Amino acid sequence: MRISRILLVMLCTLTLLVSPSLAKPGGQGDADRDFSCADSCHVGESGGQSSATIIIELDRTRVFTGQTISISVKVSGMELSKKGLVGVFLMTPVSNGVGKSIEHSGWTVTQDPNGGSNNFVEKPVLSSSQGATFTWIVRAPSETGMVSIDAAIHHGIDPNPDEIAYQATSGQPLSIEIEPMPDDLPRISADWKPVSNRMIGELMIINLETEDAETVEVEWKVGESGSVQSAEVTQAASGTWSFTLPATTDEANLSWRAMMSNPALEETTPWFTLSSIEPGYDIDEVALFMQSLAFGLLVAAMAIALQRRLVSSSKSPELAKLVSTLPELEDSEPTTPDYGGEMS
Amino acid sequence: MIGAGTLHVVATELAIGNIALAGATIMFRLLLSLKEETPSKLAEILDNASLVAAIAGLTAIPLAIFTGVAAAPGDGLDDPLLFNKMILSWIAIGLWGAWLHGRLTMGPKLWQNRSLAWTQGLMGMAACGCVLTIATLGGKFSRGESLMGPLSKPLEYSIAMGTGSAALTLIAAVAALASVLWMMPKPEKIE
Repeated sequence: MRISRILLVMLCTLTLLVSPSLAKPGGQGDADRDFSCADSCHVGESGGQSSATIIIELDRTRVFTGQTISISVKVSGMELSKKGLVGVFLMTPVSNGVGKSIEHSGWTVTQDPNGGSNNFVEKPVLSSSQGATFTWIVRAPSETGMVSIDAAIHHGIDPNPDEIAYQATSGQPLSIEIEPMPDDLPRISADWKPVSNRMIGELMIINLETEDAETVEVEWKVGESGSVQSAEVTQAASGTWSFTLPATTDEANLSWRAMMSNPALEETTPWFTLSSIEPGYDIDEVALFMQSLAFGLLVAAMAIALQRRLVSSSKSPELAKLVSTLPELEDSEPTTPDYGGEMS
Repeated sequence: MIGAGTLHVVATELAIGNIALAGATIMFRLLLSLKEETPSKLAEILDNASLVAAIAGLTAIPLAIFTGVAAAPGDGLDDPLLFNKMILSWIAIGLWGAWLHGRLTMGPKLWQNRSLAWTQGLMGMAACGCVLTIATLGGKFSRGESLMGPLSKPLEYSIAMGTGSAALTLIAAVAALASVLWMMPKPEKIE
């Protein structure tokens, strides 16, 4: 009785001592997010200052209106949480404590580092010193002029007793001059969207739509450092080019780029990424419901059978007699065996 | 219009809260039944609390299941974690159903019979564990983390039956339950 009450009090005390966690070690997920404390910081204290070094790089020196380019954000030196998950924002420079998504200044995200089209993505980083590179493929604004882009990082730390997020901006927004697009510059059609995923073992036929391109060549490679190979390109229709990328046997990334040209100009696209993923988990929901219901009923049948078996056993006269003898055996005084003889 | 996700949160909180209370009270009731010859006032309170919490929790579990299915992202239950959540939910319903059946048919005095108390106590705690496992799988699915840590790894895989096998298993399960309910001697209220 007393022990039970002590246990009850201990349980209640433990329950009160455990405070709810505000951290999100599993990350927030890729999304179009603005960089601000309302969106990215934790409740209460507004997070810690990250030690990260953030470098923003373009894949070319000149950028034209509507051109498809890649922007790489190299991050290193940051603290890492147990899972090593690091989130990076591609955004406008911070103004009044808020960095808006890059799409607010006219850019269009064609492919983010995870194959989506978000300005905030998360990836696990293995080593803080080696860091990681997050590459976005974006379409430049349609208006000419100077634009600035910035990047910010958002991550945890291990251990993180205060459960706060660590964040920082690059501190040096990149200024880009958007020039008018030259006449007849070969380019990818504004409506064309890249395919980012396919199943493992599946060949991928890509139909590329271009404007002002008379010839198209395609190169591909496996991963970042694989040898560059050429793909055979056929012209399916005016401005539409078709080529096949080989299958992979595992979840490897394959990158490809197109070199477009006409008699006057040449243009090379950024490296697009094509990930190979495992086939999705597919199940018949009717079968699942029947299987679940069957397991539930079987468990109930076994449990009720056990109860009834125990009840009938406890009513068994032989068992009752046996049980009634147990306390007597336990309570009886130890006796000296009687050997039937007397010492003389 | 309230989304299925919001309703699922309400239903799961109802289910988890009640089931956790039921699990804790059953555990303490079992401990008391092992110590006390005649039930104390605290034992009676624990027994009543566990009964009420189990009924409330059992009522909320189907709500949580149906709102959960409606709130699942993508095309239906396309993840092994969701599959295992569904299986465990019905197993929990089966265990809680059996626990309630035992408690209601045999009455509160069942705790005074040691073997029945052990069975009833362990059954209740297993049912509670089942529901708490389902809750941690929900965290694993939505946030990528689980209180079970690496122990939740096996639950990322599932063994799915085909429609024919599942139908046969269901028929066998119904037959098994019917046999137990109608062919085994019914327990009487323990006096």
